[in-house]
Formats: sequence, C-alpha cells, structure tokens
Amino acid sequence: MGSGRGPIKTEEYYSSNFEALGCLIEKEAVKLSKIHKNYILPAPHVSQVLDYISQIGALGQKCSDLLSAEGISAFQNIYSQGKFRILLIRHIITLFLYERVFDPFAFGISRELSDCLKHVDKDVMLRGSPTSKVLALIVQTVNSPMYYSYTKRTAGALGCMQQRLLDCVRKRFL
Amino acid sequence: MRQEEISIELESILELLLRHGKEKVGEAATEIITQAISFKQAMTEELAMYRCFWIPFRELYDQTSIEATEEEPCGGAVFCIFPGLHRKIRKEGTTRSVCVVKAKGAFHCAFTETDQETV
Repeated sequence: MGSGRGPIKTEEYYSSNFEALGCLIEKEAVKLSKIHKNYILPAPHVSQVLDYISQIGALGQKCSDLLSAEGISAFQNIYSQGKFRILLIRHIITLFLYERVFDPFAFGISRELSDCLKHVDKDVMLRGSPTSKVLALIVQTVNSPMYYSYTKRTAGALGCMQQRLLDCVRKRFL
Repeated sequence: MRQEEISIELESILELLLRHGKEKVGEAATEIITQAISFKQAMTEELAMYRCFWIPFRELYDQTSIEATEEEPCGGAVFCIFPGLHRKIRKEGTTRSVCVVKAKGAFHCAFTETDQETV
C-alpha cells in the first residue's frame, strides 16, 4: 500500500510551467526593449540602475560589482545594442526572481527562516532527520530580535504562514 | 514580503532601467511575478524536491544543465538569463539531482560581435 505521499503534480507540469515563465520574460524583454533602439542610457542613470541592482540580495550585489568593474561605458555599450539589451533585461528580471522568489525555501518567509529550513531539508535528505546543530540554529533564529521584528512587520496572513511552518518544524523535530 | 510588494519592486527596477512609464512596465512586472509565485508555491508544496539553480558568472558551458544563447558557446557565462530546474532524488540512502529544465545563459563569445540593431 502506498504512503499517500506521492508527487502532487507531474514533472511535465513543472517543466512546461517553468519554461512558459522563461518565454514570458523573453517576450516582455523584447517588447520593453524595442523603444530603446540606438539609445544610450545616460551615465547618471547607469549608476542609479547599478545601485538598485546591488540591493537585490547577494547575486544582485555581485552582478552590480561586475558591471561596475567593466565601467559605465561598457554598460552603455551593452544597453545601446538591441540583442545585448534584451539579454541584460532578461538577466536582471531573472536575478530578481531568483533572489526574491525561487531561492528562498518558501515565498514570503524571512531569509533567516529560509536558511534554517534549507538546513533541515538538507539534513533530512542526507540523514533522515536534522542534526542538533541545525535544531539549535532554528531555536536561535526564532528567538532572535531580528526574527521577532520581522514577524511583527509581516503580521497577518504571512505571519500565520510563517508560524505554521515553524510549528511543523517544532512538532516534527523539536 | 508580499506579492504586491515585489511586483512594485520589479516595476521600479524596470522603470529605472527602461525609462518607461509605470503603466507599461507595471503590467509586465505583475504578470511575471504572478506566474513566478504561483510556480514557486506549487514547488514548495511538492514532495519531489524541485529546486532552481543559477549559472554563476564565468561558469563554463555544460550541455547537460545549460542552454546557451549562441550555437557554439565559448568562454565563461556572462549573464544567466533564466535559471534551471532540477529534481532531487533520494534512493537507497543517496541523493542525486536530475536536470528537469536547463538554465539559459549568454556566454562570453556572444558579446564579442557588435550587434546590428534589428529589435
């Protein structure tokens, strides 16, 4: 008899929906890029864009550093050419989605809680249960003032969702 | 962070980058974020352990997990233009990853030729 814990959706669902999202980003990047044919983005605007990108998590910081290192004129050069500009737009949208939506353990939870749950996930995959080190990390995170301020800030449905996630972890492993 | 908040954040980035009005980029941002979050939520509920992966800067081309924008990619990756998706499989105490969707990337040689503006 099965455990009843089989996949909820088929692999086909995931591959086709993920590819559809990639196509949507490509289509929007082409559409939004059209108006800028042969346009040189002014240097102060380039700096603003790089500043903004640097605030999109660790990958954004790295991307901004790399683009800055090449110099403003290199960025302007990429931006001024249609094919490259589309690649740049797709890269920035993707980077944003990866940092804010795809990389966290679940959408909407704090980075700290996401890291804890990833540790639990990794341990469960490797050993079948989390290590005491990971459990201590969860307790530390939940008790931290930073976490408290985050849950206070994200009151309502999101706060409840976080609480439910934590309750599950506590119930199962603590 | 809520869906509306990140839609506005993406809209702001696109507005800054493309110098379009809010309406034009807002529509695109909302559509992209809605689809992305819906996908992520399904992925989070799933027991099959799907995970997205990124192509790091200067990563070399690997045909098993990366789809390049150019036919013959050379040099390291410059831009990851869409992440890949892999599935973790746990069998007999070991875990392995299977690539379900390849990540898309633009490699160094894509930027060596100047582009004739067609778009």
